[in-house]
Amino acid sequence: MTTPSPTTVFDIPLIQDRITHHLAVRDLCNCTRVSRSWNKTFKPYLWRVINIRRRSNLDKFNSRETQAQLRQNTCHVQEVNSNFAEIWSYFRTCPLPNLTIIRSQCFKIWQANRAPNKYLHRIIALMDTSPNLHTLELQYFNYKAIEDSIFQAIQRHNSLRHIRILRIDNVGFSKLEQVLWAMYRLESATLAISGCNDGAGWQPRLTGRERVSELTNTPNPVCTLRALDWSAGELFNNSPQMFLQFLKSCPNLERLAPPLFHPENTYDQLGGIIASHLRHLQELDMHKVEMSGSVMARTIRACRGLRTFVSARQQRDMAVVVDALLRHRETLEVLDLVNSNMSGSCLHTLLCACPNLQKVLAMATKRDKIYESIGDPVLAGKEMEEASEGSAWVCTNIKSLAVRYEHGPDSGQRLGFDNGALGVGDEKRSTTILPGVLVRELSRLVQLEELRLGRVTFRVPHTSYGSLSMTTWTEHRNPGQWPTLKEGHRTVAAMLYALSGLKKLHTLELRNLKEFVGEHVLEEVSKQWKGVKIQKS
Amino acid sequence: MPVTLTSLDDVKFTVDKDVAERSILIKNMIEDVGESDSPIPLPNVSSAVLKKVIEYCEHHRNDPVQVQDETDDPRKRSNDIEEWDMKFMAVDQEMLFEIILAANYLDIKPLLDVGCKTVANIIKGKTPEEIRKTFNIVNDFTPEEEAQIKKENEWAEDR
Repeated sequence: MTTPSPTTVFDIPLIQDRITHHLAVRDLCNCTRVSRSWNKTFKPYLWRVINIRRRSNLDKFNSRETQAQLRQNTCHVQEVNSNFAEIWSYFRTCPLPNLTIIRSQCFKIWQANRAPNKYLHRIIALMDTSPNLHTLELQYFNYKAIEDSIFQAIQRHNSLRHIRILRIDNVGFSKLEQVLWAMYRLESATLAISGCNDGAGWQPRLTGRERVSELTNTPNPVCTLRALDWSAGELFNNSPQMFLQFLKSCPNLERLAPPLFHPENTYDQLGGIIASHLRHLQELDMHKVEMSGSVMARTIRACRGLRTFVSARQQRDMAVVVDALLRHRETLEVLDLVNSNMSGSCLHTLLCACPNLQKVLAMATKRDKIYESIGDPVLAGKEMEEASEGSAWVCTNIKSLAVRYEHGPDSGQRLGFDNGALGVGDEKRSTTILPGVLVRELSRLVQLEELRLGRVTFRVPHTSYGSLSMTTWTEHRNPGQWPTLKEGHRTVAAMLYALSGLKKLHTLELRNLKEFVGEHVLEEVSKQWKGVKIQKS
Repeated sequence: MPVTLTSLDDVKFTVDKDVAERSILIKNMIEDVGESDSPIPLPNVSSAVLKKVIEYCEHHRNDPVQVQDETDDPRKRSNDIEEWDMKFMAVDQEMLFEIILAANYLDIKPLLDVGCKTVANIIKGKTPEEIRKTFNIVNDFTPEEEAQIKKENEWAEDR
């Protein structure tokens, strides 16, 4: 009765593959229920990725029907992501030959009774029977007494390239050495591993290095490793020395996030090692380290062509660090300066000096704890105006900017904000809501996609309560000097009109400006942007 | 230097070389054969489809060549189709499938991608019965089989 269905596009594997990549699991399920031939076509894609996010999914995965299907489809499974370690026991009888990705985590709240060892043994067995595995991510397991087996399995695997292992505490000195050298064939590693307080009498002897050197027949045996993120770990006594010795064997490292070292003076050697051994280092993530400004500056100067820099939190002596960063002005693309203790004028200097910046994060996100934002740099309108004689921001290709500014009553009185130029009335009036110079700079960043702007109303110089006043509107403090609501509305409206020329903007956050954002203005300006997401607080 | 293409039903199309070379197949042919006036036969593509494909290639003649689509996130959203492409793809199903097959044969990756995204968008959010209606497919399952499949898939479904 019906004509033969014109489903030829569904019969060519390459096209099937492309279509199914755009389908959600729910859609794939529906496809398998269309007809027998569609069932045959789409079922392998349904089994390509196994995602178990909820307990109910896990329970159903254990059903007789599903287990039978699993045995028929083992060769299609490429990726298993599970929030429940129990899943690994279901693969006991069926190896997954084409598995490429293992991601196993337990929810953090269950950390108290972390997934027991037996599931880790299952994962190790799977690793050994999955020759194409390239990514392994483990979170919140109970690794006690099994760290060796995990890292031995990593070391002997031929195709594994990326690992992420959180978190192992109290790792003894000799095990730590094993962990380091197990990475000799990886491309990237993210490790939350902390040492314990032993190894005090260790002298550099490099047994691990010699062994791996022999295996690889090169003097710098860890030549594939490009990214090492150890920022969520701490190393004590002599283990930082061991870590630094390891770094000397990683000639191609491009990204490094070192752990917290105790004692702190171990960092003194980092700059030297970067200069002599890590010639390709482009990304330096120091957010977990604590070191003096001069050591940090030396470390930064040791790099050639730094592209990404994540500042240490509460950095001491930030001015010399900025000076070192300016040496990389031509290459710097990403700056994270949250809680860095950088001054607003230093930030302004960087923005005026680095033409290739893509992303600058200088304001803590809402999720960060309040005290973590106390060291955010704060741009001051007054300083910008004084500094900007002939100097303006050169980072015109920047895509993402998150920054705080302050514009207290004192600077407000000095600065006239030229509303006329922005098309809102022609009267000149001073305002304390927004520095005009800041709006002018922002409106020139035409590539901007994400802008987060935070207003600092009043800052108490470093006291333990200082952070509170940064986010609390203190309008009543000095009624005569603070702006009226009307003035505020007018200024913010002017800014929104000025920013409406940024055609690529898709996210705009205005923090501590809520009461000045007029709905009708927002509505009108939003027409200029296509689908911009606005958050105000 | 223009290039002449001949369709399955022997219709000749003359297009600029850079437009024709959006197709990797044709690009390789021109490289292999060298500059020549003789038309390039495309025995798998009808004139109606070839006309559409040329229209696409002309609109996208200045696009940068895609290099790394394998490294892209494969589960990319499929709602990022350009407006022009969306209008271009607003054709009947048979033509849509023909365009995809032609893009596959001629090796025009961006066109193949847009076509596959369009098909995925048609499938998205539809029930099995709606999919059958859309693609004119007969349900050849027995009720028992249907129940069985529903059970098999349960682990993946409710999320």
